[in-house]
Amino acid sequence: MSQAGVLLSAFLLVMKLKIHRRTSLLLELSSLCSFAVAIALSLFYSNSIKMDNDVYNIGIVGFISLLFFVTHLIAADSAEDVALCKSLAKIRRPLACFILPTVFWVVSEFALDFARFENPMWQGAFFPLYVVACVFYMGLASTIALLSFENYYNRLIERFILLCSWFMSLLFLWLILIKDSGSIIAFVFACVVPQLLFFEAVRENLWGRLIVVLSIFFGVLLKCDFVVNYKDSHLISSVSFANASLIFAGGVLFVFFFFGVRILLSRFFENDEIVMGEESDSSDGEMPDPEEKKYYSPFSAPEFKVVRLPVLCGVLAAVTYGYFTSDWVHLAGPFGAYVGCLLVCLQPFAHVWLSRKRKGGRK
Amino acid sequence: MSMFANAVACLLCLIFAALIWKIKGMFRITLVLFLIVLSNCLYTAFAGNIAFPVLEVYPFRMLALTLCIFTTGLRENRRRFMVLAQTFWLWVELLGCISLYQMGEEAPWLRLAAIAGIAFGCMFMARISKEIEFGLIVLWMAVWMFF
Repeated sequence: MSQAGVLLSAFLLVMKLKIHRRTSLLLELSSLCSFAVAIALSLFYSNSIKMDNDVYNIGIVGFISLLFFVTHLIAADSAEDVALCKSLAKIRRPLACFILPTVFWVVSEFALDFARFENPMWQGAFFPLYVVACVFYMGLASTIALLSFENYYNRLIERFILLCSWFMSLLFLWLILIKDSGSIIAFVFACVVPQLLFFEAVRENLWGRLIVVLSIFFGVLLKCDFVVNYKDSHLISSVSFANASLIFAGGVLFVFFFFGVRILLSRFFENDEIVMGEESDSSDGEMPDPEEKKYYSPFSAPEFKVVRLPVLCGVLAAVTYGYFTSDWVHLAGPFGAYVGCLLVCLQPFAHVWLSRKRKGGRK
Repeated sequence: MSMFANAVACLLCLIFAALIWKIKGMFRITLVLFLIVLSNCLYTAFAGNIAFPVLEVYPFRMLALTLCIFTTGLRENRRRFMVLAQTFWLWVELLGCISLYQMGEEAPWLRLAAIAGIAFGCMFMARISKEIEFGLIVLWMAVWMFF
């Protein structure tokens, strides 16, 4: 779940879908708070956690998500250097382009590893796709919940979650068909109950929306339980005080982190200006932007510096890592993304530093 | 799945893409996409043995091919969506390959390389003419049928 918020935020940015800055910041913050809860819980269970590739992968995604969030925060802060803010705003989409495939890959690889080592029943090409779809669906549901706390809602996301619930129901049923087993209760909670959003009375009501969101969370939780224990309603039948209090503690910790940071950084959040997706949609090959008509030499074009050079360095880093460690599947991709993101983030600071140096030289 | 069933699947993808070209509006397109995935799942269940691990993602491979063909008819942001559709196809195929490889079966690495090559080439296309559109559709169909 921790990757759901940042995945959705990056996806919306890459697809150039208009969304309020507050919504995207909340999504990114929810991801980081979930990471923080995961770290806090893992400290209690440090004996049973193996430091394997999955942990490093999640760490890399956490770091990249933090970079994405901090970039967004500084870019939104008009009190900061204007040139730096503009430069940071420009690198958000390249960062999203790095984050999206990295999160997809890390989640897929985690699902493949789970199926291979933990429960061979789920071994197959479909399971990772299914897990990624669940993460995306959770991201949408958490957006509605977080926006409800902010006392506003987004009709586009509600429509989006309704449409996604149809595809999720297909995925649930396909999994049941190919594996001959599946949790019907999870299907009802995660896919059937969200159809209530068809009714205006539910859609327009805060409690109606929250019930749908809670139903999705509960449905996905039941599904996770089924995937791990391979038994329908195992979670309900074997509920104990310790398990219930652990879930409660996780929830409380999340709320504590989330609202703590939210209140601390409220001046960044309470600006409803749309900054994502407002670029022109006509940036395709056949309809070039006016800026694209300007001639640049091959290695000095802004697109080359901001996007292609870091991608190239990231690919080189991944290939070097894979060559020296022979680990092409687990960490090579995320490591390349990590290097690429660092290079993308360093550029605005280098740019500002160089421009200041030039100005100083002229004086 | 037999060669004939594979060819029929390819033809279905073409028909589905032509169907989406005629529809406008996010809600309607999503509804049609839902029906397409449903049809793909039913076709896979009836035309092949779904106990075979390769066919687990067959409906989604069909969806990916449909989306790739669909993007050739877009007027705006065609290159971006073309690359995204191919990336989706690549991702589905890559997971399939790794999964099959881990299960000790033969994985279609050549198909993966072909899709990656075409997607990489599309990234550098400044203008996509009608001839290139047709060529891309033929290439994708060739990858589907022969690799």
